[in-house]
Order: sequence, then structure tokens, then C-alpha cells
Amino acid sequence: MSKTNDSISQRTFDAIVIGSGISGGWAAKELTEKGLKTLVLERGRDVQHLKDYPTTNMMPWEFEHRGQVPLEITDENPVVSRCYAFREDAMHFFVKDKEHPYVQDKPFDWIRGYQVGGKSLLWARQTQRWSDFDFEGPARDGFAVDWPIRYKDLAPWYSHVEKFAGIAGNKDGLDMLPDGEFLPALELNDVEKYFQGVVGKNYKDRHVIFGRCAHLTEPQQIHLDQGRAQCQNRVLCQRGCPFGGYFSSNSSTLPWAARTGNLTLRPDSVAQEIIFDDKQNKATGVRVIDAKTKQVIEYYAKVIFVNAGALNTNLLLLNSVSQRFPEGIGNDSGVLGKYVAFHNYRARVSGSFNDFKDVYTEGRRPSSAYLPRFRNVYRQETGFLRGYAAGFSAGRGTHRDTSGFGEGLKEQLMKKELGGWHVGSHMMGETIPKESNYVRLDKSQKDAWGMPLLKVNIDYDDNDEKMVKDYHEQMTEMFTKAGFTDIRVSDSKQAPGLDIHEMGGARMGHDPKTSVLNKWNQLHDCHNVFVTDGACMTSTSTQNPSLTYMALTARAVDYAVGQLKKNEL
Amino acid sequence: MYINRRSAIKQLFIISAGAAILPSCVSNDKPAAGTFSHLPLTAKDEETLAEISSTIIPTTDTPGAKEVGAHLFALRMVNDCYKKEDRERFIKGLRQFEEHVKGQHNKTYAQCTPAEKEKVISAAQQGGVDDAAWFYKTFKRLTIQAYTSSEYFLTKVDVYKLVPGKFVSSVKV
Repeated sequence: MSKTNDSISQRTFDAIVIGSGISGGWAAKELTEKGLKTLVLERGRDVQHLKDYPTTNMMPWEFEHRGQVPLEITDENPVVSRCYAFREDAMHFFVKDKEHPYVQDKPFDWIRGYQVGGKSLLWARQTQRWSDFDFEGPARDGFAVDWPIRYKDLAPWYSHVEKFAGIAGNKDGLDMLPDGEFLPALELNDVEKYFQGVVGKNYKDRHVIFGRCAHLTEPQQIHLDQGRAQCQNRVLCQRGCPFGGYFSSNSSTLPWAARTGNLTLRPDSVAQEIIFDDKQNKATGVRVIDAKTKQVIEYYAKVIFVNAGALNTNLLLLNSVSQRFPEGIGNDSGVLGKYVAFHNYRARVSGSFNDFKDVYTEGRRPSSAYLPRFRNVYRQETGFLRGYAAGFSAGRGTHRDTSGFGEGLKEQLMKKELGGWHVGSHMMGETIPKESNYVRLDKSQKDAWGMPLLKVNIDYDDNDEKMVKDYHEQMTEMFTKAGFTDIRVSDSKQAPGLDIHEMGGARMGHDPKTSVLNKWNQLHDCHNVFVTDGACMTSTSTQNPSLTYMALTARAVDYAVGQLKKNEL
Repeated sequence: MYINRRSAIKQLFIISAGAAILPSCVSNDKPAAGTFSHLPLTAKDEETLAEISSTIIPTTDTPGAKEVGAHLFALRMVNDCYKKEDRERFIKGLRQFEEHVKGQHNKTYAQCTPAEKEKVISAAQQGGVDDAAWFYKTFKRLTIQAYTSSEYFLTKVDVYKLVPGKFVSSVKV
């Protein structure tokens, strides 16, 4: 215990939220709006909207290496350097490999953003709803455990978070991708519309749509009230947006929570463990180590939300041991840390299109087209389980003639020539949660804050390999039907983790013997602890998961506060 | 940190602009200012590189490679972003390039007349397998990158919009 002078009452709140990323920000907003004095613990430094976006208004020529990361940094940080967004303009928002080591039993690229706002500053802003084809997947196809919720349980909460966050999209009327509360969608270009037509004509169950994404295409009063403005298509999102044009904890939920007067935000606070009191038979607070001073401090609350980011949430729960919970809080089942899954982003298909020479696009666009899952949706019909969604985009490159030298070359450089159209697609495959894909603690090694290192043992399986092959074949077929040429397939063989969609370990389920959380994201075995980040996911589906975390969080807070009022927690 | 970097870059431009105004800067064989810690360069080498960049993209009634400090950007990239073996090859190639010039014209590249410089670069344009050819190809590419991503180019030639506003999904050519 610390020898701080502040009294216990000063360290006591109604609620504690561990983590300030995309789900923690939502927990903070909902709890404070409902009148709870809420402490948000963030292990990283403070990042305030606008003020702490040092590169946001920098011009290309102001970057010493024009965006490229110097070799010294990539050599020292091989893991994070593999992330597409780890560039000169945003590398300050990523965890460097050496700062926070972990143990890779199998190769796993763990991409992290330790700061207020977490990875919500850096995400790709794709927000597709789940449908019952996703929630019913494990039960229908016989893997993992049945989700304890269905679409109807989450639908109103999807609407709730979509209205506040601001989601651009079309009402596409698709069974596998329910419509939501949308601002006007971004626009497909001519070649993307053409491809949409080709796919629609050739396959009755395949659809090319504009991906729903968290951009304010037409801000409503609720967004203006947050101090946010229309997306200006800068496409520099990863730097932090001066307009608040895309949704992040920093631009939206956290300042909103602060305005209630009920928020206390404590950056540089590494949560070591959740304190469990055997007498009261519930969690009483969180033990924190100050990242800078290394001082240990305890904070207390009636209810605790764990939103540390999927794998760190597992680490924290596993490290929260007590007489009652020798294997980690809420882990009577022994399932905690197991059944981790992710999304398979290994495969791509690209091509050229020797048509539509009379049109091009102007400006930049922060998102692209999307093909919802079409494999095994209504029934099992392939040799692998589940399926994949795909991103799709078409663009017309420009080039300059760089041949020769002297005045001739200089004149050439002044002229930008339109090139042909290029098309590209990437796969987002569902992976099957398995007991053999797990994280656990390495008790022999501790980090600078006394936390045991996380050992990660996660890999692809045969189902994933089959899916890569099928995606290559199906996308090649669709590209061929569209008349695209020079079609190339690739498999990056990237390690799991680089998808930055790691999920599970503290899965939801009906049965306390086979799952960690109940249908309200509440630990089966300790009812005043809620987990609403990626750790709670029973299966992964194909949709980018953040929107579902947001909806689950808002729903869980509503339930928790109701229970508190009834003195049930 | 980024503020400092920004002002450092601005200083680079000022320095290079100064060099353009005063082409007869004192040249010598002393090591260069030392900002390129992985590259054993003399001030003379830097002058040679500035001259080569200027032959590739000359100053006319509009700024050329020299005015945007293209050779300094090229060296920054080679120093910070290139692997050790490529950095060494770059330096080796530069030396070989200088030796070719010395052999042909019996003077340094900087001392060559404009006609002689054109002759040297014309020959370099033909390519080859030696380190000098690799050096030239690499340096030319970086010179073009420096020029087309410079403040001059992106504000006066191909205007970069930090805040584009609208995306237009279909424009007739």
C-alpha cells in the first residue's frame, strides 16, 4: 500500500474503468452520464484532443523522411514496424517493442497504443453491424460456445452508439449486414460502381456496398455538441483529426464524459490487479502502479469495467489472484485466457482495368467498398467453416515521366499523367476460437511495472488456409468476370496479431463452467466486474469488431447501473 | 520534438538557399558538418552532390534541385533509412563517380563546365553494373523525390491540399 496522504474516501468512486480506448471511452461516457462518479485509469500518457496531435497539420515536406520510418527505429521495433500505420506521422501513438515486451510462444504481432484514447486514434474506422448469422454461428456450426445474446439484444445499442459516434453508410437492406442509423454514405467511384453491378448480376448472394464507417459526412446536432465537425477527407486520420471528423475516444466520448463533471481521468496508471474482498465476496477496487513514480495506489469502487484491450484484459484478470480466485479473478472455469481468436487478413487480390479511361476521381476518400460475407451464410456449403468479408477499392494512379535529366526532365516533372485503373481487395476472415489458441502469464519474467509478461500462443489452422485459397479463387473469378486484367493473388503469411483484431480469452456464454462472462458481460463468478472490450468475444465473425464493443459496453453499463440502483451489485 | 524537427527542416532550406546564392562557398576536404553520422562525407562531397542534383533538375526561371536542398534530403534518407551495405555502396559509388570525372576531365565535378557536366550525366544515364551506376540511379531517384515533395513543388506546381474538403467520385477527363 502506498503511504499517500489522501484518504480512502478521496480514492473511492462509484465506478472504475480500466482503459480509455474505444470501449473504455464508451464506458466512461455512459457511466458519467448516468451520474456515477467515474475514475478512468489509463496506463499510457495523456493525449488531449487537438492539443496533443503534434503532426496533424504538418505538410508532406515537413516530415524529415517524407513519412518513412528511419532504419534505426524499424530495426529496434520489428513488430510494430510491420503495422501499415506505423509511419513517421503517427509512430508516436504506437507502443515500441522494447518498452513493453511480451513472450511469443508462436509469432504474434501485438500492436498496441498506450495512451489516452488508445488505438481509437489509429483505427481503420470500419463499423459494420453483426447479424444473427454471426451470433448464431458457434451454435449452428458447433464450435466455441453459444453466444448468450442475439441480434435483437444488441440492435438498440448499435443504434445508440451509431447515433452518437456518427456512422456513414447506406441502407443496403442485407440480411447478413443489418442497416443502422446512418449519415450519408461516402461514394463509390465509377469503377467500383461498375464492379458492384457485375457482382450483383452474376451472384445473387454477393453484394458490393460502401463500407459503413465512423466519419461525420453530415454532422448532426449531437456531433456539433461534442465539438466535432464534418469530415474534410484529409485521410490523415492516424495523426488525430483537428475536425473530430472521425470517431475516437479523444474527440468524442472522453470530453463528453468530462463535461458531466463526474469523470476523473488518471493517465500513467498501470492497473496491476483487481482487488477481491473475500468477506464481501466481490471486487472492491483496483491496485494501480503509477507508470512514472512507480508508487502503488489503490482505488475503490462499487463496479469495475475492464477495457484494457483484449489481451491486456486477459493479463489483468489472470494477474488478479486472491484466495477465492487463485487462477485469476472470475476464472473458476479455467477458460480465462483461452479461445483467443482474430481476423485473417493475409490474403489480397489486385488487378488492372483497361477501361473507364474517360473518368477519374478528385480529392481523397477515407474509406472504401466492402463485400459482406457470402460463404456459408444461410447454410454450410464449403469445405471450411464460416467465411470472409472483403474490402475493395479502385483507383486511378498518376505518374510522372522521370526519364532523362536537365531541363527536359524538369518539364516532364511539371506534368502529371493519369495512369490506368488499379483494383485491389483484401480478405477479412473469421477464425475459429480454440482452446489451443491462448495467452497465459510468464511468471518468471516481469516488466518494469512488476507485471508478469504475457505469453502468447496463437496460430492459424487448416480452416484458415482453406479460406485463403477460397478467397483467392472467388475474388479472382469476380475480377475475371469484371474484365479486370493482370490479376495477382498474394498471401502475406503475416503472423496473427497484425490484423489488430485479437478477441476472446474471457468469452461470454450461458454456462459458468465453459465461459467467463454472462450475457451482460459480467464475470459469472464476480458480479461487479464487467468486461466489454475484445476479450469478451465468443466468436469473431468477419466484421471489424469495434462497433460491437461499443454497443456491448453501452448495454452493459445500462444493466450495471440498473443493478446498482437495485442494490444488486 | 516535432516542432524542433520542423524548424530544423526550415533551417536546412535556409542553408541550401544560402548555398545557391553563394555558389563560391569555400570548399575543402574537411568532414562535412556531421549531420550525416553514418556517411563519411567531406564538404567537397556535399558540393559535388549539390552540383549533380542541379544538373539533374537545373535552376531555370523556376527553382531547381539546389533551391529545395535536394541533395541534403537525399543524404538524410541514405543516412537514416538505408541499410549499412547500401550506405557503403552509395559512398563507394560516389567515389567511383568522382574518379570517372577526374579521369575524363582531370577536375572535380563541381569544377566542370556545364557542357562537361552534361556529358558526365549523359554517360551516367546509360546505366551500368558498377557502384557508380547504382549511386547515380539512387541519387537521381532521391533528387526527384526531394523535388516533387518539396514545399516549392507542393505549393506552386502540384498544390497539396491539407484539407481537400470534397471528394468527387466521378470527374470527366
